[in-house]
Amino acid sequence: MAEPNILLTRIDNRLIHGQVATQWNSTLGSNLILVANDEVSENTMRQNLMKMAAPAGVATRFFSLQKTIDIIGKASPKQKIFIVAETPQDVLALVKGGVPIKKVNIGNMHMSEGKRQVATSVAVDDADVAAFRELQEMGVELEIRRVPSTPVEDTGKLFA
Amino acid sequence: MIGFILTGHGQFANGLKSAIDMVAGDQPAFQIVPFEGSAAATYGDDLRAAVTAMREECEGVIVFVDLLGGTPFNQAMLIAGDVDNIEIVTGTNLPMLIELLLTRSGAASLADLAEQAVTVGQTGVTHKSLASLAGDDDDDFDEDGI
Repeated sequence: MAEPNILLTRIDNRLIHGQVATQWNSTLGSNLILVANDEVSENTMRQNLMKMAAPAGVATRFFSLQKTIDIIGKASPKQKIFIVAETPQDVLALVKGGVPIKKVNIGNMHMSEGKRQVATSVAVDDADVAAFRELQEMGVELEIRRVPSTPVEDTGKLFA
Repeated sequence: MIGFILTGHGQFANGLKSAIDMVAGDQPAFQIVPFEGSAAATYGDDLRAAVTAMREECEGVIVFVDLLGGTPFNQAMLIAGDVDNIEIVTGTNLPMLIELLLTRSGAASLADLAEQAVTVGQTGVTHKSLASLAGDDDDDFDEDGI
């Protein structure tokens, strides 16, 4: 079975929104945005809003983490996939489930109670850091970058 | 590269620029010239200086203005009478600028890009209701795939 053509996986707690729809997708040239998120996979309201945000000609899928793991191997080679997930824990679950993710873009992880700001738009707690460390140990490349035109920020900030 | 100047009444240009910064990040050859009461006397000269300087750096310049017939528009038109390869677009909005900033490097010509701005800007104005949200599930692949 051919490996699915996953161009990039992004962690963004807003999932598909302005930055993702207008900047990342066109830079990557993907034709399928796959939102891997348990809550959204059962929330048609949020799905419909995200479908509206997606650029014309770009398909969207809203799968639970388990469904993503189960189905990703069936992707057509013509499907150039951009996976969007909410948290590093979710991405780790995908990788452990066998989704061949090689590179993770860390976009928006908002500040909240118990988190510390480590980059312009990234705040983490210990559980996030542990997940990132595990991803890195499994050979997944990490990159902190808000939008394609902004510079890459040092990933070392995550582990400091 | 085609340079972009964004100008309008009050904080129009500043506000739009801050939205662009958030969505698309910092952009080269993109400058704002606000038209504010406190600097109204020098506005025409400020805009002319900005357009002229951008034109020296770029093969052409589009001046995006807020309102057809307003002072920013009128001043931009006067400048376009003296400087070549200047196009002016009115009714500037965020969808227009975001898309044009992404596509300007591949534009066939300055005039084409200005026409594209109008199309994109108009397409970006829509009316949505909850009832219109459902349906529209025609993005499935015909062949194998997920």
